[in-house]
Amino acid sequence: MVLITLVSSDEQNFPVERELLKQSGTIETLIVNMNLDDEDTDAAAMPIPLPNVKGDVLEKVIQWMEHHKGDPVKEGDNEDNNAEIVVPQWDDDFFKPAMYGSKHLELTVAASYLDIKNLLTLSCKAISNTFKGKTGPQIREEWGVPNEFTPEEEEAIRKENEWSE
Amino acid sequence: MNFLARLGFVKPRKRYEELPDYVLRIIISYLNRETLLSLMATSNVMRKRIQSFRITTPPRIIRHFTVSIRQRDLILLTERKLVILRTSFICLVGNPKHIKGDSIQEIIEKIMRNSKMDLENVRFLCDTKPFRFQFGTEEVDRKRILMILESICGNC
Repeated sequence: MVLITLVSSDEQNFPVERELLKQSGTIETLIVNMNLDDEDTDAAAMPIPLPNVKGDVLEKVIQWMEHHKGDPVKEGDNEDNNAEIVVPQWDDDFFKPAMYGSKHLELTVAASYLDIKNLLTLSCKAISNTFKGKTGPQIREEWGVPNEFTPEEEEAIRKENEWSE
Repeated sequence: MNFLARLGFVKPRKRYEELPDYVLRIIISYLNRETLLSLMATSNVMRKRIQSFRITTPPRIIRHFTVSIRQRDLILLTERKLVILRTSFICLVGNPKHIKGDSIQEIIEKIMRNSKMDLENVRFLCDTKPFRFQFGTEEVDRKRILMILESICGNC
């Protein structure tokens, strides 16, 4: 089993099975460009730095990729039929503990940076699910966003959106 | 940011408002119009960011939206008008209060004028998919819209 070492922004090393990294478009490109797949290249001696991903986030990304090992990798842009995307139970449980904190958002940004399309899709869908059926004040309360509107501004927004209700 | 965070004792929480545009676009593409309006009503930052998508969104992104929001509504809010894209059909909907009693051509002209949507953009939307347009409760087929657009263009 070929292991490739990923180095997080806080300089933690993560040896990861080569096969898993096929899920990341960014890392896959780096592997090809660095010829890490060549038989005469010592992949273990050439760590891949990921300066935009912190160690704790990268650990979560790897955990997710391990669970989804062998899943078909999406091609192209995010062109799914969004109405049909369902976050599987395992992923829901995986995202939930950190959902309203910075960790989940950092995971989502990392998925975007690392070009892991399936993770990005599910992660975004999970975030959007937290907004569903909620009013603005309810979303603010759940996410701990302070209300910066004056009552007059809130009334103005409500009036502006009235026609769509 | 709370008091302790301001003093540097607690790291402020990263919020959905701080997500990069690309990620935010994906998230809002999953929302129906009511939820999108709710999200926009959470803060000025969100409001301005989502509003800005319409203005700065290049055609490729519009296509991305129209392709990726099958059976969904997406509202791209302009200053005064809503442009709702659907994948089964595209709705260009003005505030019903303002468009009531207008002809389709007048509505199109108003929407284009008020939303600062140029003809090329409208035409692009027409060409993207065999969509239909809906104005208020009236559905109009694509050919008719294109004919109207041509006549508007001819008058420019």
